[in-house]
Amino acid sequence: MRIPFIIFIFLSFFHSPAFAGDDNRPNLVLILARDLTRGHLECYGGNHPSPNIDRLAKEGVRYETAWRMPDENLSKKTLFSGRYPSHHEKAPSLSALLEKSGYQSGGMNIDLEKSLSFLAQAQGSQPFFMIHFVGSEGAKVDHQVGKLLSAIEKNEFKENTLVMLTSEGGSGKAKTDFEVRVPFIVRAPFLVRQGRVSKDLVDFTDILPTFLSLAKIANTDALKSDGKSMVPSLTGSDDPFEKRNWICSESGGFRMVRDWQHILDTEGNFHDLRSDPRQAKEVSPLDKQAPGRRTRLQMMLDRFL
Amino acid sequence: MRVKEIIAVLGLFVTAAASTSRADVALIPFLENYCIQCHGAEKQKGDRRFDLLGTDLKNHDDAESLQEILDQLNLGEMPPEEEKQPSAEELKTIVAELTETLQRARIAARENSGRAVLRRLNRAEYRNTIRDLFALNMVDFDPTVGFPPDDSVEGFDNVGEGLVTSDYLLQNYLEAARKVADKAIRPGPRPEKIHLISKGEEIGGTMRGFRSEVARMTIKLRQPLNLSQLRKRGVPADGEYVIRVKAIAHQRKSRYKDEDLRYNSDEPMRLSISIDSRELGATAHRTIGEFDIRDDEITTIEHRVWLDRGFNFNLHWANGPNGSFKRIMRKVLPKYTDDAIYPLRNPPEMYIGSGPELHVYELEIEGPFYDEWPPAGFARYFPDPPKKPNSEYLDASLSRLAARAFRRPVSPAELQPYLALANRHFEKHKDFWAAAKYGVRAILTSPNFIYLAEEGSKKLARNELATRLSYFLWSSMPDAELLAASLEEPDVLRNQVGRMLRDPRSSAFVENFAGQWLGLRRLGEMPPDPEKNRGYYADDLESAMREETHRLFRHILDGNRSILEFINADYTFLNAALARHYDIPGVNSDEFQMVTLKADHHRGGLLGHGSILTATSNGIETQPVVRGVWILENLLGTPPPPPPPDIEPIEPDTRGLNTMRELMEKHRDNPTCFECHRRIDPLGLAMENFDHVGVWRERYAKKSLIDPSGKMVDGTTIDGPDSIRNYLLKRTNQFTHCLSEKLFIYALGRRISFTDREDIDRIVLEVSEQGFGLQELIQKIVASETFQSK
Repeated sequence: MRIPFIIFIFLSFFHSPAFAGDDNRPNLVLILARDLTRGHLECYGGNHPSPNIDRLAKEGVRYETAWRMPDENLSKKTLFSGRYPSHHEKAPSLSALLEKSGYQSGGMNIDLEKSLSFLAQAQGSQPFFMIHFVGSEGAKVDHQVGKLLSAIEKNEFKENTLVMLTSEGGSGKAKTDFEVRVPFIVRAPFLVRQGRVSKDLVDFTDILPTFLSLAKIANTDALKSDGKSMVPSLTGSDDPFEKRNWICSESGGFRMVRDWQHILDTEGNFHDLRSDPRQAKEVSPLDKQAPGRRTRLQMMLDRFL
Repeated sequence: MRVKEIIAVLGLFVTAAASTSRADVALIPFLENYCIQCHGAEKQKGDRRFDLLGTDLKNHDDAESLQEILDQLNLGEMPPEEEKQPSAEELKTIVAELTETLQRARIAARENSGRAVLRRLNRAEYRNTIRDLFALNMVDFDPTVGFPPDDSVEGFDNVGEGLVTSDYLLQNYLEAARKVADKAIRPGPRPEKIHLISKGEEIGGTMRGFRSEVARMTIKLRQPLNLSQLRKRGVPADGEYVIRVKAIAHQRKSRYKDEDLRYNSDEPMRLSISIDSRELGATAHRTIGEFDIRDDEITTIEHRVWLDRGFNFNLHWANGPNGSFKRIMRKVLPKYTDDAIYPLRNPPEMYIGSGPELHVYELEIEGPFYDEWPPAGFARYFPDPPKKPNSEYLDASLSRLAARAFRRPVSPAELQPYLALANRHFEKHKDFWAAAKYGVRAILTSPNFIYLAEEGSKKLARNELATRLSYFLWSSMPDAELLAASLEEPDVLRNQVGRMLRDPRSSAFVENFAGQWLGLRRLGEMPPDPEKNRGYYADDLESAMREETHRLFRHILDGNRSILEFINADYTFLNAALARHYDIPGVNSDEFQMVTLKADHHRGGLLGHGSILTATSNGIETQPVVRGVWILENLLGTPPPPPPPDIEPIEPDTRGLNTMRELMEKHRDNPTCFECHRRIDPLGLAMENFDHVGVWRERYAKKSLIDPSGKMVDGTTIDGPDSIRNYLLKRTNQFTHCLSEKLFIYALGRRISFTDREDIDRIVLEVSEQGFGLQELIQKIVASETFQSK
């Protein structure tokens, strides 16, 4: 995947890592829940109460179409490398890049207390990043999100802190859209004033380019991220050329891609998700636009070869 | 209702009995010597035969024939130059004798005539009369929409002879009267105001799947945006509404090349507002305004417009990318990203937001607003309706209406049937306003309303004169001031004519008279090929051309300027598009402006008007014969007879091997054709430098040089439009006569008869001596005995 030219130029200006004096780059907090589905959350139309996550969504951008990888390990690897699983080897790591550019690391915590105490002691003069892992139970996730948000807000970091909440999935190998389509919420008050819902396409390869862009680290050729920075999408850019027009989920030899309407996988399954979200029906041969969409998605699958 | 009443007996018969005394001494031998050879028992050239001509002039047709012979002799057109010519002395004698004979015949005919002119309103007159009777806004209300078209006689559609009445038309009158009554009779309180606002995604017509805080327009022709709350029913009541739109021009310049999008990014984006009605369908669709939208800055448009009940408004991007959205997705997008495939249907999400778009944030409508309530056109007949209106109020109201509708005082006896009809309805159904409408319908379907009847003595009564005058200058009913004026006093009459010509209603005269005299109505009947004449449609040159000619007529009329300026004005009226079409620099506005012409523009007068040059072509090429006939008929007043029925027209040379001139040489080979075409063809060929849409050219498309030279019957050589202008200016008398005759036909609503000639000849002479002023010509026509008599 090519690096978007505009972002490349933009980033070259802020050649890292030398940020002398006040470093006002944003803090980056990623909350990664295990096996959290859309059905768990009220803001995604689920029937479990999730007041804290709903608030996060209301203040940020809630993505309707975000894909993880088929299992949790692949999701994690993809998130740290910015590359699809078949491109993972020898990839640099997100946390190493951030630390090298002068970010203070809050670590990757499973323990809530550890995360909270880090947030409590963090200084404003140096930006930090932190990844917090949380279990799969909806109510528990919401409770922990609430705690983390209060800690951030208490310390007056809210304005300059990006909070990203999504799910890495579970252990099983997912093979459909409705399995890999996860909750994905980003609150970044320094970019987005008003909450909204986005239909832009994002997947786990986009997280690294987004963080690099906000940390003003050049996304050099060596990084070779497969994704795109979500910053234009977050700021509400209208221009589709700055955003994804397909997303992918990959495991071993199996790959599936989708656009805004259709899904195609390497086993030849092709569905219209607008009329068939459970992927149960063949696309009608009378549908005149489907063949073109399918050909385009096939082109995306073939690019991996 | 007794519809059959309407079928009036058209006893339009002229018994122009003449009491000529002696058989003319010189006429018969003269005809035998010089005319009968071609116009006798054996040959009837030009469909004329004189050997059976009676000279006692008992027969009206004979008198008309003698008048024609006299005209031809005076013009020197007959006998043709290659035939035996009468001596000057012979000619003088015969002309004097014919003039005298005809003069006597005229006097006799007029004394006996008492010509009852009874003609019905034509469509335009009916529409305008309804407009003025009820003070209605008729822009989108046309009760005559299903009427059959009116036939033209002598080129005008207000001549009684052509205005036939059919069963079908009668049904239409009934239907029209119902619509008018519903529209005009508006009792009850002022309709409640609506105030509707649509924002962003609520705006109707937005692309599916792309609803957001703005409604986007991506191409020129796409489903328009509208106010969704109005979509089903439109506005609730007739009245004036304010429409407000908030819009922004987004990415006027984008990554896409103009030629890929078929779009001009150098122009500011233009938003057009149109209105339509679901009930009335496509015919009601009309653009009411176009507005420039600023780049990246919200432009607020506010537009006041009259809307009839049921109308809705729509927004379009007037100068957006041409062609379909699908084309952009399949053929344009793949040039700009290798994530899209040519020529497949790529997802629209890949394009939306990346190119130029016209964004609409908000649509708003407020109204109806009224200057007064109840509406003036209703209150003038139904003033201050009581809470429980009764039969007396009904009678009084309908009487007021009948007096205006019949354009004269109406006697109680005459009124009785109409009042009885309405009252019976009232008694039966107990619904006053339904009964009132019923009465209104009865009045509007009465022959007294539909027909312009002139009764009684030969001299027109005051109200009859007012009516004739107002249908002449306004194509509508007289107003109260005109009906009250002492028109028998020449000064009063003169002032009224001046007032009427200054009144906006006189635009009907320009449109209907000039439009028919000059054949402007034919413009658009054979429109240029859209593929090869894109600019003609993009710039709406048809309207612009028509406007140019209307403005010239208006200018000459308003300033009482010389009618010779129709031939050689050194100015014209152009907007930017038409000026570009004519290749005349210096006009940059869409507004029409007066432009002074130079000789090398070749444009002075009607002969250089695109309207006439286009109307006399067939959309693909020029038709020199049609142009020649047009000049003979409309400027010289000497139309050639139609071609004999057994003659095949010359086939157009589609292979383009021969020039127009070479083709038309064929007319020479056939004497039957040559008779008339030697008069027609030189005029038409001299106009060949103007192409089928009136653009000046030196060569044909096949590169051969255009040769405009020729020789008229009288030996005048001509070589282009300027020489025709000179030819016409040497015949000012003939041109003035032609225009006067056309004006008379239009003013009287009947054919000209030889009995009218005295007035016409006198007026032509007077006008020629007094500077050829157009208003003066109209004043003299109105003042003439012919105009003021039946």
